[in-house]
Amino acid sequence: MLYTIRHVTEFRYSQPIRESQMEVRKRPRSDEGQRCLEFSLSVEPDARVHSYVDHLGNTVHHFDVARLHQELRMSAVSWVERLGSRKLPERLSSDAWAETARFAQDFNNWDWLHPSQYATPSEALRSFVNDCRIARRDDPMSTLRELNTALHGAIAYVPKSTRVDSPIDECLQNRKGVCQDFAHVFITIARGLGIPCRYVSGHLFHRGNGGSNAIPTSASHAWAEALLPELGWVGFDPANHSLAEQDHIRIAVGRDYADVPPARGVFMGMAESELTVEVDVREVPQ
Amino acid sequence: MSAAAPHADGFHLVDPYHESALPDGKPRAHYERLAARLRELGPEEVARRQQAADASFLQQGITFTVYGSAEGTEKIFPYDVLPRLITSAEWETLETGLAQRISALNLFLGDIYHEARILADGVVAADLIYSCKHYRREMRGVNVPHGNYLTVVGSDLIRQPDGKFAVLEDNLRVPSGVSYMLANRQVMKRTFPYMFRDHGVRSIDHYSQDLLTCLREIAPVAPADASVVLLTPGVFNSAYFEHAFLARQMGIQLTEGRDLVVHNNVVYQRTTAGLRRVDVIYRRIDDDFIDPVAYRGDSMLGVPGIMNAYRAGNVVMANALGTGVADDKAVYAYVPDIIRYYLKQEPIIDNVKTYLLERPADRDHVLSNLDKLVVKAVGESGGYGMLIGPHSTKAQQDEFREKILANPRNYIAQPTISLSVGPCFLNGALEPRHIDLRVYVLHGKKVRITPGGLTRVALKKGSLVVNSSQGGGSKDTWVLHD
Amino acid sequence: MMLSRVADCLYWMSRYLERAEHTARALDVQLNVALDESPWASSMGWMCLLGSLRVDLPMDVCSDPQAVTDALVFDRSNPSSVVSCVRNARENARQVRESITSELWEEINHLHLSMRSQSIDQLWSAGPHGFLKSIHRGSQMITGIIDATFNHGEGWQFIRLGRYLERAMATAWMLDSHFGMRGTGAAAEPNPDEFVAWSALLRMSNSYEPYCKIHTVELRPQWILQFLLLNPGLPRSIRFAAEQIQAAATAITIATGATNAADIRRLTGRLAADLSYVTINEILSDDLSKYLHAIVNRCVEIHNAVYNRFVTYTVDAALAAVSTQS
Repeated sequence: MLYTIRHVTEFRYSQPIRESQMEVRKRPRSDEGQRCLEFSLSVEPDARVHSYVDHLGNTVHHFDVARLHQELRMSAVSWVERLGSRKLPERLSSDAWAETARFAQDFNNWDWLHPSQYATPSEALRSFVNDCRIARRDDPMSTLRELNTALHGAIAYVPKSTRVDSPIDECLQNRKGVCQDFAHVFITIARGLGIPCRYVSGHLFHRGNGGSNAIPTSASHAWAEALLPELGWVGFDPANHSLAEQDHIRIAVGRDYADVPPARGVFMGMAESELTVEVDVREVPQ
Repeated sequence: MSAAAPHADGFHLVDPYHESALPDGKPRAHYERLAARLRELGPEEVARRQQAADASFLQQGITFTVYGSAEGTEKIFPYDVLPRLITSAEWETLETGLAQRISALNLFLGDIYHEARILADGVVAADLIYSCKHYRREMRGVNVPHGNYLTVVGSDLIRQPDGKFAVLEDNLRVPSGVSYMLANRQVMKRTFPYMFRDHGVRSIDHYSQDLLTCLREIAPVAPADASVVLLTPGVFNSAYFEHAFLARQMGIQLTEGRDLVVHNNVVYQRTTAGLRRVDVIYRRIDDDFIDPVAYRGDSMLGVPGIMNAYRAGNVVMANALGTGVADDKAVYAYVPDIIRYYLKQEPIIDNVKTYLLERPADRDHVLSNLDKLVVKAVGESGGYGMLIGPHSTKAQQDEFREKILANPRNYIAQPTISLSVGPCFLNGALEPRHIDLRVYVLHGKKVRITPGGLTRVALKKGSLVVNSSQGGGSKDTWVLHD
Repeated sequence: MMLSRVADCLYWMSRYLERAEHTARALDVQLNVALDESPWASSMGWMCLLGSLRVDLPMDVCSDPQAVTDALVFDRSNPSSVVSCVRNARENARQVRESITSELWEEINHLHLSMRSQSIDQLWSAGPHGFLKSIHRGSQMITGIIDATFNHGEGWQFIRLGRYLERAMATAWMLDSHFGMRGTGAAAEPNPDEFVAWSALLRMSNSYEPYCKIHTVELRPQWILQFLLLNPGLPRSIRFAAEQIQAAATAITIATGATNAADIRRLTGRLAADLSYVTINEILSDDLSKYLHAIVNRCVEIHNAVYNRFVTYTVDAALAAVSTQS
């Protein structure tokens, strides 16, 4: 599958500002199952853009705009190839838990098994897990499939019901949230069950209205990935009640949202900022 | 010279080592001259000289701010007028031992921020490193010029009752106190000029020069061309005086975060003559506050974008970011193993026995012996967050028990060490007080250790707490030529 | 090499000190002369003073010397009150502690502390003269320390620039206020009230005795105007200030290697040249108030030009300037 993505992030400021420093994560990853064929990032006002690859393999672009400006617009265009999608089993064999335990021995998986800033267990989480009767099942895959379903049923997806930096307790108390919250809750619970799990930010192609006319969305998407025996990293999208295999395009992975904010920066000046995001994902007929 | 051991509230510690006197009360060989001179001068004259020294300190404005004190204002740093002596043989051991230690810790940092072989080989538990709040994942894979993570280190040493030195703690982030060491020396040379000359004391005047040399040596450009600045949090910081002092001594610009700006991944100073590129930053700001883009977003002290300029190798910071993981008190317990692993050598200077409270066996032992041990929180410094068993009440011990059980990884414990005792001139007479020694180690292309350091004194009778922030004082430290 | 922030702090420390001294002295003089004036003349004197300090107070306050003193000295909400000026001067000095001598810091701190321990009631019952004089003295001491112990490098030039810009503007406002009220005519001898008022003007500029040395005790408005505006040797004249401003600005451009500072040279040069070539008759034949306002505007322009060039320049402008030069 070949996709093209246009991802525009725009900041508008109530007063002119200067000395803006910005970091963005927009370049899709090239790794298991996915290859970024082409990527370009343009910035207005004009700025020299630098980039580096962080310790998780995410590409980060950064730049500064020194002069006075009142708008900052970053447009990324990428071409991504998904290298075939696999058929994922309903469950795994009975020694999958033993294999999962061995993952825990590898210190490289430490971050995926321990609490992080947004993925921290709490009283609210413990009662939620009790309420939904979430527990280890015969094998990790069926456990997570069940978790995926449980979350989708228990929490309502309501855009803008929480902020980007809301702790999971907010979502758990009100039983509504956005994709970040679904991902964080999933991750916290999965880690609690001993399954290495991480956060993915990216884009979702909405294969809805029959064919390649995508519906432009106003946000990128977030879901979770778990490390499973035999399968490697498998994506779970509790907000959409699906596995993240086909139309999920991965931009960045991390412990949680704090590791991979799509755009983060500071500026000099007394101004309020307003953010608009436009994402347009299209399938390219081959 | 009087050699009475102080007894703390009736609890009998192992008899401490007496720096100046042998068990029979006679002065040790290298203290004979000092003892004789003090007898010659007599207590009135010494008291008079002490007053002159007080005035000297005042003149130089050697002050610091104590957090939490009622005034919150500046005080003259308390000191004692009698020097602490170290023979050259003793010093040589300390020098080689500390050079060994800093080399090993440097290799350790390089390793855990790259392949982490020491974790793969199970010598140090990954859990200990990755759960440490000072471990900076952003530094993984970042190449630091010359592999130099540690440029300025302050290692705290104590002398145990058997007379051997041991390292109590390494300070690898922003160690302070060097200015007091230099100030002490200045004042001492004026207070006891003949005694100083007669003893043949190794000079420390070149400290600032050595520091500047090290900073230039790690620059991304030719050392002679490197533009070096000192980055301070500003006038409200308790060590500000030291920042200003060192900047002046080195002849480099003292800057705050707002004086610097990152443009196109390069760091500049805002001067009246325009923007001037910065190559090396001697930073006295903690990792958390250095860059609001990369770290704490609410920090007004840092320089936005500096992390990326650093990552790209366009500016060097001393010390590197992320060194705090190696001065975590729990990691300290592994330093002997770290020396063996990277250098294939036995440690020349020992650690103090340390219990790691996340280990069940250690934890049980400690919890049943809280009244005999010193318990420390791993992330704290300055003597805060500490329980001194023999000096504590049952209530304080219970409080600590709760804290330990809630978060065992956050605590270590050590036996109550009888710090060695040195003679001090207090209230017109010679009195013994507990002391330790902070040695300053500089590391550029090679290791340069200033002979001496800051001998810290627990001025309160019977106290074991030497930290300046809790009312300790200092002494000049004389490393003798022979 | 000097950080822009340090230049900024030294400059404002200097301006606030000058402002504090001027306000304290002017107030002290007015309190003193009010005793010699008729009530009508006295109230005119108070209005004149407030006008020169550019302070607006409600009418009932204006007629009460104690209330005016309180407002001018102790009102923290007024950024130009003496206590505010001293506090700001100290705060600026504190921020650049490492760039000033400890002697200077001690003096400024001492002045600040002495202000904190006073209140208007204490002051009024004890008689304000002693206190105001001590501020005046303290400020002069600080100036002396600065001039005697500071290396006359870039930092000292910024201090000098601040002091004389502040002085030039304050004197211009003062002349505008006094001559606006009383006019420039009157070749004849002043009556007692007028005499008191004119001598007050001179004393407020610390220039009574120097004036008498040249003109004797004959107080003619035109001579006073010429003296305070154009006299080249009087440290308090605007012309003197303009020459100091020019010298300081020039020294700064040289010290910073600023090759592109034509606007600063032009503005400071014009001000100094104008005041050295103009004659008092030229000024009197035209609108004096307009002339004095123009001087103030020029000072503001100089401040802006200096700040744009050395302190608040934008990053991209600075780097662009470098690349066009090389």
